[in-house]
Amino acid sequence: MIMSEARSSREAEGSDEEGGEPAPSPAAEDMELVRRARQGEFGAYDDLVRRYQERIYATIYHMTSNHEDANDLVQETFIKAFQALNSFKGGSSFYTWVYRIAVNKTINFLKQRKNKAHLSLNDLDLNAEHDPDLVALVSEKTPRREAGLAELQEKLNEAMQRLSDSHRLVVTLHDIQGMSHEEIAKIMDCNIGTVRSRLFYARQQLQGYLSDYLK
Amino acid sequence: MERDEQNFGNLQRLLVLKRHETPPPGYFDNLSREVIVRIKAGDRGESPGLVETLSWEATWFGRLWTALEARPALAALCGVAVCGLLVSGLVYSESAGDSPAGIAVFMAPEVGTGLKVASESAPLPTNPLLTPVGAQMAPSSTGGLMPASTQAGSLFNYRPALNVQPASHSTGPGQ
Repeated sequence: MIMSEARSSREAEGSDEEGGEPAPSPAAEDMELVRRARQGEFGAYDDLVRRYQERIYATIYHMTSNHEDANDLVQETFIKAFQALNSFKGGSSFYTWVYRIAVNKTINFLKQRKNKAHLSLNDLDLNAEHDPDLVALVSEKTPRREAGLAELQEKLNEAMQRLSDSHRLVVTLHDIQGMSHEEIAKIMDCNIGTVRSRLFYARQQLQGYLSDYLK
Repeated sequence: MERDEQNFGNLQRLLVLKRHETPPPGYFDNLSREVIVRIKAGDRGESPGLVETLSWEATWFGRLWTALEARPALAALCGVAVCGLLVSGLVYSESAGDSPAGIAVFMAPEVGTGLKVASESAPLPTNPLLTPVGAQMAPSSTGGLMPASTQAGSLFNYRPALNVQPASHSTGPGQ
């Protein structure tokens, strides 16, 4: 009897590993964390913040090119999201919902800031010097080969700040953060055609601004 | 065409640089904790201000402010208009106050009242500064001298009419 119980327990364990209930999807995990956070469980909301803080911060930083502003805005985004948790109905993913809050807050901030942009750039990580794309860009074939990565970084951010907010956003979400046109359309609440046309126009503008560094 | 494609390819390579921009070390370790602390402290997540606490966004003033904020040229025009109204109001009030009639009306009752009280309580000496040079003095009914009233003119020619009496006092018997 003991052996049968052992066999059944091994079979039970085996079924969990081989064909048991599938692990919950990230979206389902988010919904569970949202449910617990609504009940006042701060630990659950802490988990949600940790899941998306880097992506949200990156989006805001690339839009503002200022670390201090991005820090303020990312915190305000998550605070507002917590206060609005009860209004989150689950029609979109929590990820998309928080992104929308972040984008709206950032665009409102940029409208107030208008022409007073002040760059406060983050440092480049150590991998930048070894990135093959960047190595190719500063190779001896480029006329500005003496331009270091720091200068490239500054010129790139200046060029990004010359774009309009909506054009900068599509470049940030697609070309920098690798989102699909569909995801971007949901976040920006527009159709995919609008995303594509803004992306095309933004790239043309950037090529004009950075022509010296792209030849 | 090929050049455009090459430039676009180089642009995409350049944009990769943005992915290497990272915040200071340990930044994300503390971010969630700071957010939770602010939530527990009741932070509304927006920059507080007097305007926010008064819930101004729901008022007509809030809507007007929002509209002006989005249109700085319109806000500038409104500011110029308000300043213009203020300046014109000040100029008008000063010009109304500068008129002699205004001064006479403004000053005469008080001057007359003050001097009248003084002359009744104690004899006042004639103050040459209060009478124009060359002004004619006329005897008053009480025996003193009273300068002829001057006609209305500039502020510097105006002199209030005074009932001036020479200092005198009657002495009682034995003094």
